[in-house]
Amino acid sequence: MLAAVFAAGCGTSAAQSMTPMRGKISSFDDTFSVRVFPYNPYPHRIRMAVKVYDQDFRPVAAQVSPAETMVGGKASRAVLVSIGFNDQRVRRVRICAESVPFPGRGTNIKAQVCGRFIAYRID
Amino acid sequence: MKYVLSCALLFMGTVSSYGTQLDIPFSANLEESCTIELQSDGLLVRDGLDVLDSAAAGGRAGVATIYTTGPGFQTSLDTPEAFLSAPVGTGGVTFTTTYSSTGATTTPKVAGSTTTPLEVGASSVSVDLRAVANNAIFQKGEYKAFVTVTCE
Repeated sequence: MLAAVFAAGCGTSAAQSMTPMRGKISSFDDTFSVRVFPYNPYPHRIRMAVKVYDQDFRPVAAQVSPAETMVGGKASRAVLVSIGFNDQRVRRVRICAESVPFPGRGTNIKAQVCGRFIAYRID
Repeated sequence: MKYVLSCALLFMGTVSSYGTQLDIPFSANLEESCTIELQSDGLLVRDGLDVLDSAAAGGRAGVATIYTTGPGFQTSLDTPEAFLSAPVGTGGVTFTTTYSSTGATTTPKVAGSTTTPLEVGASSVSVDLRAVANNAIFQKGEYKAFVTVTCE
């Protein structure tokens, strides 16, 4: 029999949410920062990663601390994201909390929750 | 004596009418959020020598529930570009994904790249994956691939 599991069950790293999901930021600096709170709705801990993308889901260089972390059951974790304006006055980004599957545990669907943020550089 | 009792009752009534009450306020200010909860995994089965498809007979779609607490959210799928793991010698593969939704958001089966606005509440999303081998057949062995469900 030839078969392949492609989706995850209700095991670890199966879900997440994040707040805030929208935001406007004004910054006097060359960078702007956003603090997001990925939340683990399950009773067991899961591994999450926070990544930054542009409007077309292309990866954006950013400092994310921590970029990947374990989040306890029914708990959230503060993650600080700092992004450069790259000589632009306005920057729109997606900050996404993503589940990180555990190898060998059959978790093969990734959940990705993305907040949209717009940042204005003030001279 | 009756006069005394009447006065006492009248006094008690007067006291009770001066009882104090305090309303304790409760309030909530909820942020909009989106939560994705995976309900069940999917299963790919052979649909010809060069096709693996979860929508084929014996296969199973993956199911996720998306909970939204405010308007303006939308969902779509990210189709994999390659198997996460596959038998040695597996060549190029073309993947396609589709999904449909029931519950708060009702959507017929659409391509995975289609963006669907989500209604507030719980939406059950059924995800199918199809893999076509490029000029080859799928050998025996175990295959795994990721489909990413996005809420934004």
